[in-house]
Amino acid sequence: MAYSNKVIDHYSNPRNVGVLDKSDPNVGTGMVGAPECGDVMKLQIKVENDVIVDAKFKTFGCGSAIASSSLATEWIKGRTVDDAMKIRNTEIVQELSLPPVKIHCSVLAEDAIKSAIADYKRKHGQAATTQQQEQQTQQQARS
Amino acid sequence: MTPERDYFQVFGLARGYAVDLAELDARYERLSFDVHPDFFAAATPAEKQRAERLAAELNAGYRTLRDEPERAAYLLGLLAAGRALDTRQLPAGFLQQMFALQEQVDELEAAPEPAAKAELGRAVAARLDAVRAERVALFARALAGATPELLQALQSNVNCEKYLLRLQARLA
Repeated sequence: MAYSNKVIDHYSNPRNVGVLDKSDPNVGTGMVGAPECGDVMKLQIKVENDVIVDAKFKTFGCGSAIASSSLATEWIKGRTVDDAMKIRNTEIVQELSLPPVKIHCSVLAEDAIKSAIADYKRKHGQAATTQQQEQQTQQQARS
Repeated sequence: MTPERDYFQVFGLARGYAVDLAELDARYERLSFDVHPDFFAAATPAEKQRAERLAAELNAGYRTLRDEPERAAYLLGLLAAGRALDTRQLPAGFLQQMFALQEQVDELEAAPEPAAKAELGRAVAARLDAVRAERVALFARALAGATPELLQALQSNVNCEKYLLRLQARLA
């Protein structure tokens, strides 16, 4: 299967690979997996004044999963937490021209963002109920 | 095309997780022979079409039942019978463990240590064995009475195997 140029670019030169201090109260850590293929993705955000000032990831997966998470970290940096929540996997699909069999890679990246934000909010004692509900609705809409 | 029979019925096998592979091979061979295109050279278009459909069903069924993970997912689908399961569920902490193991493989690739790699390979194989043993027990119970809890436990079990297989492929 041919990867798009953008996927190859992110795959061979991934942005923001690395680790943030998990114990930092301003850092949220998301860990998600795709049972379709066994990919595992960790995505971390650092938040200051409600703005994501840094993001790091590490993905064990195919080129599309790495590219999706690399792109996701690029997109969320500089956004507010609420804004980052609005990123949809379909935008990642479009940007990277992912074929249908790789859509789950973009879903993984979206879920990783939400999982990292949920962890950050948990640390700050904010109820994540509305986000969880929203996530469920989206998952239903996607399936 | 809605299948009127499941793959176990196609091969005349009892519905269950344990499949006698020699028996499956023998039945596949015999049934494939019956629908071989050579015998339908002079057949009507409708008969040809029917034989092709049966051959496709046989091939798909054989591939599914021959492979343990595929068979498990398929049998779970039959037992779930349309009931919605959480398809991503895993035991608590499992993903974190997989991530840590993947990182260990990374380290071993950066600085090869054959003994450590072999040991990690054995640990992953042992976990796979445990997952499969649990699956056999879960399917035995689910076939006697498929409760939502059992079905979800099986889904989680099937998911675990995917991550472990992925890890094993890197260690091979």
